Amino acid sequence: MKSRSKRILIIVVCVSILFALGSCNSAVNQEGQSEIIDEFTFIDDVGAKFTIEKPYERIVSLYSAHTENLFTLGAGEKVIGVNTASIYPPDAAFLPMYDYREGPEALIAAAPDLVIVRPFINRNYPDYIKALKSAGLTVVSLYPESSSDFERYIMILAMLTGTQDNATRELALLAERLEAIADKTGDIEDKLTVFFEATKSSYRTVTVDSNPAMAIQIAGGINIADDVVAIETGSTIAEYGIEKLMLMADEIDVYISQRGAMNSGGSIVSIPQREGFHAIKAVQEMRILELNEKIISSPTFRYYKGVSEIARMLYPDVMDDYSVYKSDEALTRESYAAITVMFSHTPIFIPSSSHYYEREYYNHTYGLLEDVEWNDDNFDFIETAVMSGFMRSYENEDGSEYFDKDGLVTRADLALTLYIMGDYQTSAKNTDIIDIADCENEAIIQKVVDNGIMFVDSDGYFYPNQTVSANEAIEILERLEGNL
Amino acid sequence: MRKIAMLLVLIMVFALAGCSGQNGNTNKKALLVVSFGSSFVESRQAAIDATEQRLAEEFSEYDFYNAYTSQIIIDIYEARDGKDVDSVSEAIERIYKAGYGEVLIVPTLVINGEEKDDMIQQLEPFVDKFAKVTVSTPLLTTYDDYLAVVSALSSEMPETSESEAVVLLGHGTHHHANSAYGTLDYVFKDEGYSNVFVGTVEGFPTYETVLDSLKERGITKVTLIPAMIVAGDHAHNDMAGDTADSWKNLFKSEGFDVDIVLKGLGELEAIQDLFVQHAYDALAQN
Repeated sequence: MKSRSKRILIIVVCVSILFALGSCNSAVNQEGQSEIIDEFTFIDDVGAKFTIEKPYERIVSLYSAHTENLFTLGAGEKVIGVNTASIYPPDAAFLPMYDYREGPEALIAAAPDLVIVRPFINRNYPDYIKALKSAGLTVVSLYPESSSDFERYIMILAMLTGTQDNATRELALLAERLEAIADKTGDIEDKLTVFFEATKSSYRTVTVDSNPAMAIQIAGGINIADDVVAIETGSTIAEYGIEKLMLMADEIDVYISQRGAMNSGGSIVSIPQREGFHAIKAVQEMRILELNEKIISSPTFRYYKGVSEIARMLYPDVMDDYSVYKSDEALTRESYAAITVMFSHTPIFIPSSSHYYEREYYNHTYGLLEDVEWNDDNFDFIETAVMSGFMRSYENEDGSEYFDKDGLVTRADLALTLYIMGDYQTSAKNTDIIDIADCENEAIIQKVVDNGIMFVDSDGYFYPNQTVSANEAIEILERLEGNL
Repeated sequence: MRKIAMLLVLIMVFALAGCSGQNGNTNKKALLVVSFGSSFVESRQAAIDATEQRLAEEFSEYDFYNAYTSQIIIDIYEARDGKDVDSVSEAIERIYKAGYGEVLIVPTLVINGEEKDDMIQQLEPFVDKFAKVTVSTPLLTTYDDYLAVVSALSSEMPETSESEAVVLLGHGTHHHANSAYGTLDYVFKDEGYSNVFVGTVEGFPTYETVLDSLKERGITKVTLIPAMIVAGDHAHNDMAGDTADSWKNLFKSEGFDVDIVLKGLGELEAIQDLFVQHAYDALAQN
């Protein structure tokens, strides 16, 4: 089979079983029985039949994946409340929050016309569901279990919110994005081998039919744990164990650790510290990827981001090809954000704690740049560039943050990136910089000049506010490579 | 000051005899070292394990036991490594059931905060069950402790010029014992270390407090050192991590030169010696 057709087959297979099992830390529930009967009628995943007379307008979502998918479908404005784990998109994190582990009174008082739950809640909190229904609320329970379930699940959300056209478009876009990644990695001859740590418990991994295993395949990796058996019927978690891991230690090129509330795997700092782990090739070479469970195991449209992150860790030169930005035109801050993240191969930042917005942060808070929407193409690059300190955000008088996407990158901006990425100290050289007083941060400019990463002109001027082209920025960044 | 120290120790010393179900054999002695714990294995070995070993060697007539106060850490070890680590209540019950009549408890904690309160709470039900129970104090308890910690750390700190500073980063807490960090900062300066500043991740002094002080003093270079027993998650991420709000990058973005020392307090022999001394002091006053 030729590589192109083989890749398409992989995508077809992957998309067809995508989200088959949702969160990969639990056994599949057996309720899955949703069915779309006609344009207005469906049966949910606990067997209840609904006929939609008009789209719902006041929705409470009690599952973070539902919340995320509703926003992706363009129904975010209809969402009036969420569960406590719903912190994406960032807009959702500031909605009223409801907890099914507590009483239903607050939710009932909010008077939603629809509450979307999942069968897990029906099973484990039947009194809560009963109370909602007794109060006259419409409660729909959904959870995608199989290939057709994901598409059907999305289409039921679309029926509920009147967003069918958006749903069709987003499903097609997801498939396109996955295929684009497979296209990039498909022709790579020397495929790298991956171990996926699903949970820290006994070094468990995932079954070959799980979302993460599919992601490894689409990303062009070889899953070293391709012969594992689920810990229980229907689960995507499989035992691997320390003995087997050590046996395969010198064959593991990349070690992926799933992180998040449900699956708190190890970190890039703690994994190398584990006893015996220095024997693992990926640990020796520090090719460890922390992967947020929300983009690899959760049944949402963000799955492609998880696949992309794996591909970036496996084949950074192919995936992080920032040369596409090369140009003699003045460089915008938006493009520069992409270049800095690609150049440094920095994994995209995604908060892993559902408590993320409960505290204040110095400099920047994820998702709160008022001119960068969560569904912008370069959202992840901008967030990661700012979150890593490569670029600064700005503050309005009211304290809100903005990024100025269309603003142009200056030499002072470049100096900041170089100083944060590199490891420079004050030099005794102390170059005379005529216009140092024009620099917002004199110390940083002085250090990048003294360390020979940026230069003053023959008259001793640095020109901190002069804009740069993409070509100039890339050329200067590449001077760092030996110093990173 | 000595009287205050004795009073503090006495408050935590329980020497009750003659109670029902009590182990009376004081020739059978146990040492229980209580730490917060860390899932970072090598950092833990260098700090907690090393301190435990130092105490075990020093009190070799006692049988050694350990416990962690963090249930999360205990759970991680059980789930990840299949390794059982006792909580304080599990350990003290184990010691009681083994028939020990005397137990010496040494918490390797920095301040008299929430972890210490929790430890005492877990010990209380067992106070009457031993002929002699001695509990020593956390690292920063008396004024003499602060002086000793300043002395211990000063030998570990780099020499600084007028424009260079050492920033010690502690955990910080909502507990009233958070005042220990401000006190430590004050004592450093009182002892002549004007370029040493103490900050906290989650309490006071904050990053802004320290930054203002550094700017006021015209500092251009900082060396960040954790004021925590283990150089674990907070030291690697909040202090030395690569996100914009790590203290390393916060200072770098202000133009400071930044050096990092990733060494927990528990790795320092002088600090281990202080825990040993605290144990002796508690025994002497019991």
